[in-house]
Amino acid sequence: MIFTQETKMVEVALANHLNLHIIHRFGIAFGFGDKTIDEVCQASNLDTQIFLLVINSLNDKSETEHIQLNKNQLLQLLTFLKNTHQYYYDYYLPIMRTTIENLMRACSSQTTKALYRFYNDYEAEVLHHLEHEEKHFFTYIEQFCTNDAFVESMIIDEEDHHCSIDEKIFDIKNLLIKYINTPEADMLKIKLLDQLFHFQEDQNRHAKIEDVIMWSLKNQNKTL
Amino acid sequence: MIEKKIIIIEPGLIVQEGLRSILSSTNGFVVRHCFSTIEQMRLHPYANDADLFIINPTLLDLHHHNSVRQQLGIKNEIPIVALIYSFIDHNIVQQFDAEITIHDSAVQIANKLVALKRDNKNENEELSEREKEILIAVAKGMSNKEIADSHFISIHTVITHRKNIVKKTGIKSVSGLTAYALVNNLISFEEIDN
Repeated sequence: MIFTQETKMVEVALANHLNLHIIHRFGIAFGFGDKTIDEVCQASNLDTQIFLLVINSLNDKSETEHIQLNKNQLLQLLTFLKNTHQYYYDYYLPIMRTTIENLMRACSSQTTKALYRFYNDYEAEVLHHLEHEEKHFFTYIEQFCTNDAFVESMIIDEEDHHCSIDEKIFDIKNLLIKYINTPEADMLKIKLLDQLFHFQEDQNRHAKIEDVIMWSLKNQNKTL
Repeated sequence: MIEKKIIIIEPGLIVQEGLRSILSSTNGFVVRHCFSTIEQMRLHPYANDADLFIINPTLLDLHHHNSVRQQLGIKNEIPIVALIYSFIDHNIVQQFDAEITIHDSAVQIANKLVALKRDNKNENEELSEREKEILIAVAKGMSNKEIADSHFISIHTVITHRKNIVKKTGIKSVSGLTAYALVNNLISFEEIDN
């Protein structure tokens, strides 16, 4: 589905539960009644085009539209990315940790201990990746937007990280479903799987936004 | 799961795209190419890279003395399915491994194609003793070189074993394989932590 500036914000929110997070991460408060995307964005001092770019590249299956972003737009996207990280730190990673710890308590065996150990590895890698992104990618965008000076081209190795994190989440799901036989804890396993699926989808969406920014930065660097 | 690659040869674009769309939502199959004529398929460099052909028999020379398979030049082990929406002589239809018609539902098509699947016995195999040994070494954090040296095999062989382990278990990362080894009691926590 393609949303336009005339689409009501409530339609975006109801179209997919993940859109709720997108709206929130743009700093838009709920309670917007029947206002359109454009009206809500203006009231929240947001660039409507940026909101549409994000929401459409995440909801439409076709190729993401690549456009040249101005500095104000880049900064708005940066805030969006920072809010996403904050959500992972404050909300989502702790939720998953609670679930896996409950699973451990429900049945403590070599099997669940092995899973727990693997999960710890996975979480450490996610945290490392988020920090790496903040230190390099986020800083680069900030420098690019605040100084007019040319910034030495950044090292782009984000793809590798995403790939290895994705591989691990795939493995955790496989272990939980195929190899861990503890029927007494199946409800907790499903809960953890639900959360893993959600987190993975959210991260894929997050990566897509990063690609949009990356494309624009690379292009502007060429023209500088 | 390893997907079966399909080549469709059908002159009508609407039917071609319709079938492609149905198959793309069928688990276990992927449409590799669509061609409008047999000639087009023959000229294509990757025409041989398919596990299954779906062909509209009207494209064949129906009076030809060669069999359907000979006319198409397709190897014996690869199934050929007829896509039928007009009258076709019984003798021709018989030469195909299966037939799908334009009135079939998506589920009917899927079931007919699944019935043709051969050689998927590799997918659920247990790890061999050798593979278990390699898996334990990987779980202990040994490099390919170290594994090769301690087992008196080449690095190339180690890599082949590792590929098979990933294929059989469905687990790709090293920490995932370690967890797999622990879950299946192939190794203890003490052995890993040393």
